[in-house]
Amino acid sequence: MQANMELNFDTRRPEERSMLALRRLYELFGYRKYKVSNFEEYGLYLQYKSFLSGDKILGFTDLDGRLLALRPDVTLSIIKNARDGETAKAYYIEKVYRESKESNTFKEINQMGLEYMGQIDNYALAETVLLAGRSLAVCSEDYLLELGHMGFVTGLLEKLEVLPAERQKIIDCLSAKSPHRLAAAAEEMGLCGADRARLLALLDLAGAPDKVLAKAEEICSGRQMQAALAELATICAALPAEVKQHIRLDFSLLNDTEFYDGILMSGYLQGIPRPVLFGGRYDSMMAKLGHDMGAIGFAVYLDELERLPLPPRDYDVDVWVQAAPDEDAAGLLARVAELTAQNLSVRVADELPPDLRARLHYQYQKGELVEC
Amino acid sequence: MLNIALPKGRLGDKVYELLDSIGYDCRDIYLDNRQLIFENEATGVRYFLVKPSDVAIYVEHGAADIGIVGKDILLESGADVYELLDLHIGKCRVCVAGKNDYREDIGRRLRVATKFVNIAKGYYASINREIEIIKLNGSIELAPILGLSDVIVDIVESGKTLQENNLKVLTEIVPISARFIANKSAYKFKQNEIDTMLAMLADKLEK
Repeated sequence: MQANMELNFDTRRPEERSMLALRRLYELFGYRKYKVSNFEEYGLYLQYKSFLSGDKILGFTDLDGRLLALRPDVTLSIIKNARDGETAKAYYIEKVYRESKESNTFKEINQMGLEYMGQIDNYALAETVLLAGRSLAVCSEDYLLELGHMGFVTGLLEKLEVLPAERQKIIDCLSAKSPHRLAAAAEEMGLCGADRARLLALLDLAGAPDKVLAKAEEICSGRQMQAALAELATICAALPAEVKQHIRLDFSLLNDTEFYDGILMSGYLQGIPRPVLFGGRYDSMMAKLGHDMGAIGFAVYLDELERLPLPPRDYDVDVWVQAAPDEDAAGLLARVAELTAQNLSVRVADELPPDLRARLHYQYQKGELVEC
Repeated sequence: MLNIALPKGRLGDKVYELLDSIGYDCRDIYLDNRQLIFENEATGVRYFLVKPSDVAIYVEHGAADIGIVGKDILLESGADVYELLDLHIGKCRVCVAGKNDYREDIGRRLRVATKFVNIAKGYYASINREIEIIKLNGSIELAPILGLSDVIVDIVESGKTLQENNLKVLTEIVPISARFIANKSAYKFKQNEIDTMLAMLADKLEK
């Protein structure tokens, strides 16, 4: 009976079901749960502000006078505690606190994610992308996992001798998929016709992997761009067909922080307007925090899953046991135990609240349940 | 089915005519009633008529897959959407304007009245000018006349309203026109439908 009850959680809610399924998935691939402390030194985020999305940090002074912050990001805390020379595979379920530009307040975001730190070889990359795909599949069958590569785009910008000050503008235009804005920016920068065409061609590099990889070869030049393409080709070739059919390459997928420097991942579910998964490779970030190793990871935004539809249900509780307030507790508890043992949820009440619907209605009379 | 957020009013009428001309018609839209949703199953479109300043919100939150919105609204809201095409209609400018005899005192903080708070802040931050923002929701031209502000940041189309109120354009901040925007997630899942509409629009605009 005990085991039966343990399995009887509310499986309707995708956000709860997904969290349990993701834990199992990550543990199957050797990831260990990592618990970070609730508060972090404020200075850590101040020092690496340009690597965070948004520049607002929720800080406070602790009783001992130290300036602390409620985490805007989990990865920085994990990097800080990484040990050189040891490959670490960690997953976490944590809350982060970021600004909501819309309401101009801080908001709490539930994240579940994983980080692979150490020797990042082709296997590590392919496994992480596979897990990102499987993570989305756990949430919904109708998903797309978009892959981009910072190396390909920055490689091209270096070839075109784009100044660091102009770089952000180009990235903004590419991220908005705006040919008109990108063309205007290229003209402002004085790029020649051929260079402008190469820059604008980035916007067309979106779609199924094989098609995009072939097209990307046409504007590819230099070691950095070639290495990025080869990496993406290797990953895509390694993925099983059931995941690969959901993969799209898109070179306008970029991040506006300096955090990621390699492959980028962004996951979408049909019916949810924002990405539910985001991540990528961040070797240079590891180096900046003094670690001589690579890293890749992603996070799933569990709150976004609340937008997935719930299966319709005609009632909220299986059984309403109608009992007067002064009924004998022992007898009533014994009858309720019989019902819960049959996996039926029970509400004991004299009157049922108007917003609660019960499938069955019993009345407790002289130690017995009488169906109404 | 493509869900399209159209701005109510003059710009919306122009945009609807444009979409109608490339085959995305929905005759009910001409009915003189208070209906806000119009659907044509045959052409696969559902139009929502919303307040112009809300178009980007409907699209960003996925209530509409695509929308047509002025660049001023996009800049002001900072909505995280794809801006896929410049429709080159509804052209105007966001400008700094002041009284005809206005002379700026650069030794003082500038008082700026506007409904475009973010655009104004962004512009003055880019030239390192310290300002005080006075947020207004309409009749912005009154502010410098009554001494509420030194200058205004507002949309200027022909310049006639400014002229009638003895105001003039001091600086042009950014040119504005209507833009075709898409929700980032909807674009992934309905890319063929959206790209088809985009290609037809681009073709029509070229002609």
